[in-house]
Amino acid sequence: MLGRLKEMTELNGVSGNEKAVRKYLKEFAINYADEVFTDAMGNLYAHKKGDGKRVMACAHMDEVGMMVRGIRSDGLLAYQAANLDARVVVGKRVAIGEKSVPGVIGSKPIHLQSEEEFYQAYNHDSLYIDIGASDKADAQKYVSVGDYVAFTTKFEEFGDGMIRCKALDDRVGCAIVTELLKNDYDCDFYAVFTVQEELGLRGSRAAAYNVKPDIALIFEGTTANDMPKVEGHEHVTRVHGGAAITFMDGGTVTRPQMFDALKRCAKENGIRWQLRQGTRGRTDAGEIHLAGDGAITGGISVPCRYIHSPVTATSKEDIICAFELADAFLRQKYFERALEAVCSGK
Amino acid sequence: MDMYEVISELVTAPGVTGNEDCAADVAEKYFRRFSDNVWRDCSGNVFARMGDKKPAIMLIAHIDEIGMAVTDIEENGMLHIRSVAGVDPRVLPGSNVVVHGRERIDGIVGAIPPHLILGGRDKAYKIGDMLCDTGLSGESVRKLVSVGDMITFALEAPLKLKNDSISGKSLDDRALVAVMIECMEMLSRRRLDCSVVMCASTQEEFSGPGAEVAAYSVAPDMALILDVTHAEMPKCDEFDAYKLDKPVICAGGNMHPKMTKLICDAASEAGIEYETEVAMGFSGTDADYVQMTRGGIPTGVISPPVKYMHTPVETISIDTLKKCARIVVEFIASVHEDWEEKLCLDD
Repeated sequence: MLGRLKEMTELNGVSGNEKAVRKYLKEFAINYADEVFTDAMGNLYAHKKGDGKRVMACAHMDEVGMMVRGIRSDGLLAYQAANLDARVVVGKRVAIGEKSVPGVIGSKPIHLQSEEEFYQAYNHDSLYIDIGASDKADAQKYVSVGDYVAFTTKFEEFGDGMIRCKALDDRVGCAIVTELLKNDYDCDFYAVFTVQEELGLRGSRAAAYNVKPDIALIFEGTTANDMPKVEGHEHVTRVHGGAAITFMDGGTVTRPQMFDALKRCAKENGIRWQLRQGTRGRTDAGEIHLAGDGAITGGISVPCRYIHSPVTATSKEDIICAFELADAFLRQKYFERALEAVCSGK
Repeated sequence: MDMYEVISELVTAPGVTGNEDCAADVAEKYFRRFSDNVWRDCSGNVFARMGDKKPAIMLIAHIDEIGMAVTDIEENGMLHIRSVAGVDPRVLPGSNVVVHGRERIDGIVGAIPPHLILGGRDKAYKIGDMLCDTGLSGESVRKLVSVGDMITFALEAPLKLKNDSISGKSLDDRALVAVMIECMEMLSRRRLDCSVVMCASTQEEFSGPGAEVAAYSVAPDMALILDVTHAEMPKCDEFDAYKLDKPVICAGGNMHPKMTKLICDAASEAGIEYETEVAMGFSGTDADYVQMTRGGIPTGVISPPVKYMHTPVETISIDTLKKCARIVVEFIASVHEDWEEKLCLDD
């Protein structure tokens, strides 16, 4: 699973351009699923047919990134970003377009900044990508308006049992879902890899309609803000704290029966878990719980520090915990108990 | 010699101001290829001499780089950091770094996740707000890291961009150490009427004590400082920055006027177009203090422009670096026994 995570985080799949990730996942999924298909938005489905309840395991393929929106006369590229704080892109390396043309995002040297500039955050409108082009015509030889731009951080192990790389949000979810796909569970199982989550949960809206699950598990790399001077209640999640279970986020409130089932599953199986102590930030659950006449959703997340930046960090152990929790939940059919409890109103 | 390879080897060796030994080792290795007379001093400067005639011309490019230092260790192992010599804190969030403790330890300077920022997005991060995360437990960190350990950007070779430009850390001023090495190769094929002493100087980013003591010990007749200037980019005022593809020769009180004229002549002789930069007082290079050493030393400054100075994406043109080397060699070749007359200001 970690090998696949490494390979997938080193692919580029900026929101709207997930094809490299989709291709990778498709080649993996055809070995395990009865049918593998793609919809008109680019969501990828791997279906393992079964008689029981329809269960959807979902992770999004896209990562935060940029698009070239114009080429200046001096050869620098203006870009547009989605869900990306301009303060984290300054001084970073990027890859542009299909051919991964190398570029950097530079900034005015500290020597030439006014005091006012020094204390002001950068915004995307005042930053440019530099590919070394001498002018517009030169730049046009290598890049075009509309090219996608991704960070280039390589996957590396570091610290005590940790990894650092780009795009953990949400390749870590993709990695967990691929591992689930290898197993057989007593249900009608759909592994779904969505597009455009970072653009406002756009892929999952279509995916929810296409699958109409009874119950769905959403796998995410989520915020870990377990930093010194940050009050405990603002940590959201803690690295090395185990799988994070969601009671609500910015897009959905987990049905309490589902929330209980996930917690009980973790406890009864001795799996390290924690609560996701935040209510902000949306996930695909925000769309999937509205599927058809409604679906039950639950969130299992892996705590990631420095999310939505060129380099994110997480604990290998936490990834394993998240997988084990999902595996136990499906294998031991906690989902059936959750559904029964919801339907009987208990 | 492939200049990109030399630069890559130089920039992937750490050498934060005052802690230049690793980078200096690389400079020494290359100096030894072209000189039998290589030495170091107690300030960490590395020297190489070629020839023994008068006058002695000293070439200086600094070997130190901007970086950070550990100032405190949190209970959970996170490191508080401070800038050493001019890191722009605004480029740090989301960066891979290396902590140079008992061993090299990978780390990240993190950023607050955007989901948690409610307002305040218009304020820049300050270095006091940022922490370095090594992913190690507090216990492991305390075994390996102490307050005062240096931190560099990730030790990566420069990225090759289009048109022979490269982008990476510490090109200020390792790229010019590479130019100095290129000059040595070119000079090794020429007969000279002078001697040349190369110096990879320490602590330039800390107002240049390395070059100052180096100039005292070498006692050169002229000193030619090789250091970067700013290249044009958006929002920089005209005349603050120069085109990437032309060497810049600096003029002003810090530079000897006649020596500067000779450098300009050498550039013209070599058929290389250059720009003139004006710095009335301090040039902000090792020339600042070298000029005042030993009762006064004639100094000149040649600079290739670099974009995004003091960030991990400093961008420079290899072609311009080679032009700088050609100007230096042409200048050295133009020095003959009448050098004192040519430089005399008593006219």
